[in-house]
Amino acid sequence: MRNTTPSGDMSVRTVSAVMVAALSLGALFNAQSLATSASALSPGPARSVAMAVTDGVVTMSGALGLDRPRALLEEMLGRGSGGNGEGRPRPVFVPSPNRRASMLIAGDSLVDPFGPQLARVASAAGVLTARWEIQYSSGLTRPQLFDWAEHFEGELAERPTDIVVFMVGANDSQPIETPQGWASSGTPEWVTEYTGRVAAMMTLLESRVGTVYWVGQPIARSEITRRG
Amino acid sequence: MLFPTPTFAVFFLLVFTAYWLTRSRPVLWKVVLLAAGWVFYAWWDWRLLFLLGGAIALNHSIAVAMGRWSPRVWLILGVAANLAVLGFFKYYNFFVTNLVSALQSLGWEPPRPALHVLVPIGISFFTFEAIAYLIEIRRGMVERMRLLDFAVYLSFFPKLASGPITRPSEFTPQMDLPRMGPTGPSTALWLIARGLFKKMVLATYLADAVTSGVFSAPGQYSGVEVLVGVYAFTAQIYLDFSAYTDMAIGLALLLGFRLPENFDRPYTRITVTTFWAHWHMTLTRWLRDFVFTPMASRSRQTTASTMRILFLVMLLIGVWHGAGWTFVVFGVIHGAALAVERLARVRRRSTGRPPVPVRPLGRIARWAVTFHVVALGWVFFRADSVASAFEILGRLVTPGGFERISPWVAVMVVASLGAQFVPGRLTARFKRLTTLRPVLQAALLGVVLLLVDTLGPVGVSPFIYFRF
Repeated sequence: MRNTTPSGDMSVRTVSAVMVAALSLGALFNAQSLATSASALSPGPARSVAMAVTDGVVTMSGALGLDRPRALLEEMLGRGSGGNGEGRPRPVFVPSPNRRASMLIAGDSLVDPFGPQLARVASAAGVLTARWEIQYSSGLTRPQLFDWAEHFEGELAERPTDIVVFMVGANDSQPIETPQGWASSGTPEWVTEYTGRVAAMMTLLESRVGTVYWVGQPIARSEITRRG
Repeated sequence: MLFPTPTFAVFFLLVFTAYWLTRSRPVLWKVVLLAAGWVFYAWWDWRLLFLLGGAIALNHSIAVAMGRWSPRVWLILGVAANLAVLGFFKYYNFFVTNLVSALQSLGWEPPRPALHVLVPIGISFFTFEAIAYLIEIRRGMVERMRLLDFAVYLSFFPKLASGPITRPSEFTPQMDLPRMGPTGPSTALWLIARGLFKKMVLATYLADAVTSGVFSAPGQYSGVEVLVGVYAFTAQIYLDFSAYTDMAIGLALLLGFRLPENFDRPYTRITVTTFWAHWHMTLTRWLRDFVFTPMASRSRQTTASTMRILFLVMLLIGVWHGAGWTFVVFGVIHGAALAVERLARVRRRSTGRPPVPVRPLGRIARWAVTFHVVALGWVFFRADSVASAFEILGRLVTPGGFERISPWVAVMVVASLGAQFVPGRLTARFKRLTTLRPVLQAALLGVVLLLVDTLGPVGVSPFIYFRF
């Protein structure tokens, strides 16, 4: 690499070193946060790689004691117990006919009867503009088929939305890919991975819209169906 | 791909390395730069590449045609084609929705439009750059570029999503021999750090703590809290957009390109006219050179005609931001302000007085009026609808104190706005950071990343101007 900086104060090589060093230090300081972000990625090779890398960074950060400045800062901000440090109630969004809330009802085939009905009832109040989106056979175990996280990233960026009603799960009682390999439905590994994906989806949605409703599965009459 | 993400950090490190490794081989180096731009853009949606590629092909073809046949005719065709594409993506939904509403009000029930067009990121910015290219060729300011050079210019990723709107005449000469930048790579790194802090900590804090709540549910806030909310958005939009610009300029400097400045302490200005001369400067420069000046030179050049043109240009700025009546009102407010200021200036001059007050009290009063006109514009800019904006303004007279908003937010708003009044000689002291040893700079930049990630939100919300 050429060191061509006739009027600059650092060579290209030095700038590269400074950037790598600063980013590495930043990663070590924020290791836990990076690990959380990695776990929120859509399942797939990129997530597996990101989680493996951030696991290593977390270990190194702990060993070097570089996780302590952040812990100290968060303690000073009063975030230790999950509070936001503000101590004030978050304002509740109150839509009105002049300022209608935008609601998205999304999910798998079970949204088919539920979504349009909810949209009709909600819209009748005159303060909501509802739309629905159904992706048949979708869920959280097979993002290769339909990646809800990626879809929401684009959809919510393009169309400002206040409320998301999300309902998936009917198609999810099948093996799931974990960083350690495939796990059968219902096993502890499956539960851990699936819980992580639900949490990641909630984190994503809550960071994009004011209110998220996660609708659970209806209780099936058949015991076998109910257990999935 | 958003700048303040680990993904972008990895992307930029790879691009930076490949860029400087291939610098001695111009064609390969440009291919690297072009590929970087396309990967950056396709990260949002790969289909967007067809749009960007189409813009490159269209404008290059028109530039070629301008060199062979009637340049004026081809220029008009080129500008019209660019505006047609921009108009379709930005205004289709607006016109269809309003047409359907109008027909419904007449008792008709037209079928619901099946097509919902999404506005591609950055389309306003690269379309204006493409138009600037055709006009500058026509005016003899630049030669027609080779296809690869033009593609690099339009796809240069630091400015692709939200500007600064860069002219071919200031970009292309730098392609011949880009260096690390006349202001140095240390300045670039600290510009990026400043942008990160402004966006991730300050702008996001104001959005979360006050503006989102006030603009979505003003009925829950007292008058003084709504006022703080309006001031907070006034600060937030500056912090958000100037943060993007800081990062764009910093990243470009690291690649050896100097992009034009977009902001120069806009909230310190004592007229709306000078506010616009220091706010989103590359857009106002574009409109001045390619819309205002040609129109003014063809007009009768009376005060009335100048006022009309100023009003029209500000209306254009309003609708450039987006398709919606709120943006029309935003443009009308600023257009009216500029026209009135023009008239006042002419009258003051005719009576032998200076164009603006010179006494401190007069200047403070002018600043207060200017600031509140600008803040009024931002209310319409931010509100979901015109009715919603009026509801927010109506809440300003509601009694009550600080109940939902911490008074600290008000302090933060004042500090964010007041920072623009800090004299240049004091801010220049921060430039000492760039003279520190590289090891120390790396350590301090690491600490900035710690502060940004700890004080900032979970995840990154898109920049406000990505919508435009």
